[in-house]
Amino acid sequence: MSHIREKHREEKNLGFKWGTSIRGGAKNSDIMFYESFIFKGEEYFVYDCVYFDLGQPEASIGKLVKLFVGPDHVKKVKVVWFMRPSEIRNYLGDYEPRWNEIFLASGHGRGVSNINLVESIVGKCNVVCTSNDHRNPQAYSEADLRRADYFFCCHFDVGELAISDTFPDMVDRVKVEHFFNKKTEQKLLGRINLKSNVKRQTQRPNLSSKIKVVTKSNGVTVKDDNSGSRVSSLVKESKVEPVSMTKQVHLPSENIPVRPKTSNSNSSTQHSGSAQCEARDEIDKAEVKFPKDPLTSPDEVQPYKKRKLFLDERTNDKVHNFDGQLGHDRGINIDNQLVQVSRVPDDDRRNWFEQQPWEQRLERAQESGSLVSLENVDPSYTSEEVEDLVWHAFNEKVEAKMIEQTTFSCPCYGKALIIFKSKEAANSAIFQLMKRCLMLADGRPLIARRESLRKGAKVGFVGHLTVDKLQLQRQTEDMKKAKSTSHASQPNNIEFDMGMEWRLLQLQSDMWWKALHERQAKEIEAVRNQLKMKWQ
Amino acid sequence: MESGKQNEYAAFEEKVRRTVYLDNLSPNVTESIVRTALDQYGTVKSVEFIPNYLEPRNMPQCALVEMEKGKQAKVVISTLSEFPFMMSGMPRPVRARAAVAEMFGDRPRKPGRQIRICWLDTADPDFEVASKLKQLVKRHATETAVMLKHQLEKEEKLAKQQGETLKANYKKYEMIDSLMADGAARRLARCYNLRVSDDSGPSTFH
Repeated sequence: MSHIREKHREEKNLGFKWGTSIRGGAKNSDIMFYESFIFKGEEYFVYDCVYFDLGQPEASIGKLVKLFVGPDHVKKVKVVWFMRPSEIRNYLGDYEPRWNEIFLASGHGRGVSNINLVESIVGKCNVVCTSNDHRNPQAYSEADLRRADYFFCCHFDVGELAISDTFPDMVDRVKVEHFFNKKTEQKLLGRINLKSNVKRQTQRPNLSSKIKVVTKSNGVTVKDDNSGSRVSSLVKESKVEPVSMTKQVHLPSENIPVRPKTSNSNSSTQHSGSAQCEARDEIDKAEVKFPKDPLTSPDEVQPYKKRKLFLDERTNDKVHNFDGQLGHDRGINIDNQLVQVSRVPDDDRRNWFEQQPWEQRLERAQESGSLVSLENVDPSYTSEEVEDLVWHAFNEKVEAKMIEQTTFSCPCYGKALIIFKSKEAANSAIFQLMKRCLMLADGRPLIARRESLRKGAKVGFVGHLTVDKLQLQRQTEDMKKAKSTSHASQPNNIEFDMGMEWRLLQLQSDMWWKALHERQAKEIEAVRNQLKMKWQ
Repeated sequence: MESGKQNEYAAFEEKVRRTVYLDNLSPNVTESIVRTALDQYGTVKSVEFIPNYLEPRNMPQCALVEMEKGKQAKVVISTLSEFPFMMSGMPRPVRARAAVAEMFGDRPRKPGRQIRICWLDTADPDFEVASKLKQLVKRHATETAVMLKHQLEKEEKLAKQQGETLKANYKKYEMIDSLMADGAARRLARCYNLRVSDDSGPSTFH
């Protein structure tokens, strides 16, 4: 895994390079439009489908419709998005999308397209359009479909919030033909269609010379005939390449020596002439493309790994900015997705120990109005975890204390007392939790409330009986000791009977608390089962 | 780092196993009282009272007592459930239970635990369900409060009842005692030619 990281670091330093520019594409001359660019060792063209990393756990897929740089020298791309089924699950209705199906965003409104930085591009994505629209060249095969990362046959109109399989003429002022599959001659310039590449080349008569040229580049000479079997073996070889999982850069050079093995070299017929030169030129071009495609294929085959790496690197950077010991690196704040909560730096927390003891802090917090109780927390959370949670959710450093479970706390609920730094912070947190829901991973919405400590004189303890005061004076030292010594009473006196009565009451109360908690747990389960998203 | 945390957590779990949770303690009970009380069952390592911030003030106290060995903790619990154990006052007995991790306020994190949170907006499909859950939680909280009040009322009732019984009993006892003390019983006995002994019966109720 480590050498992948190194590869990335190398490629980042490879930098960025624009391709050919489009003349007259700009409304004002400040913006330059381009047809392609090279980024991180890959060439991206207009109307390529790419993966974007925008901080979401799953990379977003979009089609580049414009590549440009503005007067601020910031490289941007305009992207029309493809929606994943999970993003539009409310509007799918009865439609059941396949696992690798996506939907083209169309219509007018938010979410169809926007402008992104080039740096958010993670890699190319192979998207095939399987629509039966007459404008869509059905130039794909079963193998293409299988090899593709995603396919789409419908579009999602953001205005009408519905999917449809009849495509409009324009999507965000771009002709819809650009969204369909590319025509054949463009495929050479496109990403994967190794098969068609090979097919084109194998149609050339000088197949042997091709092999020869290719292998010659490595100093291995192969001589063989022109036979149909060569075609198939070559085709087989090229098919093997995109599927291979090796992560090294020099993929082609590795596979090329393989070819001579499978192709039985025998005759030494060499074709000469201009035809060969021509072929060689073509093949050179093809060869140039060849090494590139295997490069792209490992990228596409492992887009997930790359994406994860990306995210990991980003979080690593974020984490290293903190002082203190952090055992786990997690956590980016995103709306609408489950985020993991990472630990707050320790050194800040250490400062708080110098302050006054807990009770005083509680009282001061209550006076200043920054004492909040957070309810419906998972009871197994610790105070530190609650602090981390609040920090992540509201970006506020707070002090938290989980309230301990007692005999009558429901085992499904936990509560925590939180001291915010200021009244406004407390208010805003309460307000936010009221307006939106902050859910924990197991489907609990958190509730916050202004809390006030119970004040009041300590009422006497119920249940300890004393006789009249007059008698107290007569008590001797021994008697007093007898009272205060803790003991288990023996069943020979009234104390025992009374004690047993209390025990009875205690057991009764245990039972009714248990019944209440069970009922409450059941009610909660019933409502939680209505949650649509997958919670734990 | 990880293993350190795990060790810490394992040590904590072990501590939980050795700890007894006491409740129904009088506010007058102090740490030393608890210590001396439970010393007869084994070595008490530490006593911690659970502070009560939010509940009504006349709630009985609770404490976590850490014993040296798990076995000792078990002995404490079983004895206290068999016989009513009195601490600093009678007759309300102290209740003992095995402690649970959640009872410890400053417990360490469980290693390898991941917390995940997610914000939901009104547009989210689960928002309504989440709001329902919130209301349910609030309702449960009020139910718990009502139940607690009910329990306290019951306890008060029992205490009053017992107080009455005690007073009545004590009166009777006093009466007998005074009769014995001022010789009325002896005189009556002589009248009726009965033998009566002079000792007053044992009573631990003073």
